[in-house]
Amino acid sequence: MDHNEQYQALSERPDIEEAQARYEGLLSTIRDQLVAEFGIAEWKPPASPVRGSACGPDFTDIDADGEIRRLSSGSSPGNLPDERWTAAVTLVAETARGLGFGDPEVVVDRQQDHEVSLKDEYGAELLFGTAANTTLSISTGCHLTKAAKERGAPA
Amino acid sequence: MPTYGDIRKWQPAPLEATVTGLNQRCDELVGLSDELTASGVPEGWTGEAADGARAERDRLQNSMELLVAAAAAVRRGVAEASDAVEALKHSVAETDSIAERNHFVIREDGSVVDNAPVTAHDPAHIDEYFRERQRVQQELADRVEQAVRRGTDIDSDLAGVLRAAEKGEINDGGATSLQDALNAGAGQGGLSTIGPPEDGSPYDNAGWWDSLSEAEQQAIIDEHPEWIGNLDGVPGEARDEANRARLETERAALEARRDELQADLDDNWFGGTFTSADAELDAVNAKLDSLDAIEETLARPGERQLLLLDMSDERAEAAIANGNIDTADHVAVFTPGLTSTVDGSMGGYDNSMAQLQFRTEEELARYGDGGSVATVTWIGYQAPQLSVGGVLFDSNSVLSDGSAQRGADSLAPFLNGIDASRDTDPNLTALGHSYGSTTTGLALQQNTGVDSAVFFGSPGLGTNDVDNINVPTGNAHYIEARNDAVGDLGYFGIDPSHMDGMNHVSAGETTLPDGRTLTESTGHSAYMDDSSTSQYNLSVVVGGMPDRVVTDDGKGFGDILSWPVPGTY
Repeated sequence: MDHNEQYQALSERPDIEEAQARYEGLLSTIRDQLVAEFGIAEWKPPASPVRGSACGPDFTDIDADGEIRRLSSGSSPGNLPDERWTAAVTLVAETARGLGFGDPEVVVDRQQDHEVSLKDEYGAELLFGTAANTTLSISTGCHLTKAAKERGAPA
Repeated sequence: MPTYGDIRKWQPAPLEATVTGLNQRCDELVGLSDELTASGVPEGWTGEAADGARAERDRLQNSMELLVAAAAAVRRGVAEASDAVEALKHSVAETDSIAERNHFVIREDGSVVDNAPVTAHDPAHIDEYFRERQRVQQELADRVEQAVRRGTDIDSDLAGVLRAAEKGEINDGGATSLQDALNAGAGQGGLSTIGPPEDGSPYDNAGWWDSLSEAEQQAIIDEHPEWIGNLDGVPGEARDEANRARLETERAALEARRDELQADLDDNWFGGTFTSADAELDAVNAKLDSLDAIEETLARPGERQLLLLDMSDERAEAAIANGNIDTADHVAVFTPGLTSTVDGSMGGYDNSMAQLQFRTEEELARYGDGGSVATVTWIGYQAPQLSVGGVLFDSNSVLSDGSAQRGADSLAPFLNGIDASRDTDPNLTALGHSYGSTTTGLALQQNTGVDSAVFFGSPGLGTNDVDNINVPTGNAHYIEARNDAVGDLGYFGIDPSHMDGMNHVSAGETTLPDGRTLTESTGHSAYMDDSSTSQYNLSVVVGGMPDRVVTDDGKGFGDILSWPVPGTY
């Protein structure tokens, strides 16, 4: 794709602020559900819950007009027991499906050590895992900045 | 000149008490102002006697103004000396603490003596032991040197103020009131700001910075950001603040030069045919583009530090950290190779480093203690470029290790400076790709304090022997992807795939013991692809979990061709 085609493809997506707000809402809902329904410990937020950088190799020409963001939930201290892992994944998947995420794919699956990955149409990846601690994060796909999308054309 | 032992005994408290006393005296003196004005010449009193009384009162007023000015100068000098001694006391305590923790003794004359208990050392690691002892001893000697330099400066400055006051050399600046005299005197009592050591090592620089009060440090950031922006050994937060402040000045200077060159070209009938103006204009424009790339990167969400900003060479140089190198538990410094430029490469490499930081931190959160990570993209050298002229004629040609040698001489102190600027060293990893691995390999042949290294896609490390890479035994790693011809060149030393003692780690598709499937990286430029085995290996080394690396001792076809002939290296 040339620069213009990359811009057009990204303009079909929510801008990065909208995307972040939606994903943050999803993470917050899942965190609360896990605490309420599975009794895991309260989440310890990270020092920097939101980080961003330039878009990756699929959108190399977008430069300052695009961004990907990494949203971390920090961790919930302790392991989510094996016998409840499948139910927890079901809960996460059902909640994430509402925002367009697909089925979970197993990343790690062994005793007291599990992780699944869920992806959406924009290239975002939700990672949910548990080992010494339980973790939950989303890396977004590439989205235009609010200003770039409002401009209506590449810079 | 005070000795280190003298400075150890210095206390700010007596100076503070002196300031309190001087505050009181100054207040009392200034309080006499109205009384002095009203006294001596009652209203309506005229004649010779009245004139005499008025002259006497004026003489007294002038004397008082000079006295107040001198008191104010001394008060300011002592107050600033008190702050400086407080900062120096902390610096000395830190130096003594480093010495104690590492079993060194610093004598009163400042000499540093190794006082480590006599214990048996593994002969296989004896070089590492002595290298580390030498590094700490050098750090202590440099810190002592800077403490004495700073102490001498405080002593000399304060003595100068006191001497001037005693000799009546503090003037009142033509004051007509005691308050004006107070202000004029205070202006003459300030202590000088001591600049960084000339050609100082990172430990010298760290010792100098630590010896300054917070107010002095902030004044330097505000007034002399060029002193510290690129000064290895100064904490990342201070360098970042200074370098961000320099961005505007650098841009203005480049824009002025661009306009000048453009005007020259416009005025010349032959354009740039017979001058180098057009080539310089291209270089200036590339530097302006580099500033854009830096500012774009710094504007992204999350903490970043601009640790290097240098426009003095042919191409811009810069280093940007994701995270905070002053506080992170794990710090990695990545040096890219051929064709790397700030304007063309910073955004992409910063993205790879941001993803590496994210993956490492998530891994640490899930499996470990949730340690924090900072990853630095270091483009602090003139990486070779691929133009015909650049390959054949440039002093930074990829065919020569000249650029890597010069880069290594900048990278080594940068790495050392990260440890030097902190009270506790982080787990420090050097990452080098392609020609950047040659630069990194050469840098690590110096004593940098780096804990681990990962080289990938390397044309050679500037040595044939892994023992010359000064990281603890077993902590040097090499990744070579399938179909990476650069990795088989063995041009700057043998192909690292054949180095005995090197940890050969995988870039191939892998299923980890935990079931995770990671993708293969092929060719020369896919080592940091997300979810690849190669990226995973980088992350576990950076995160201090080297037992998790996926090893790969297999050799590809290219490795067979690059197998060095025994006895020839």
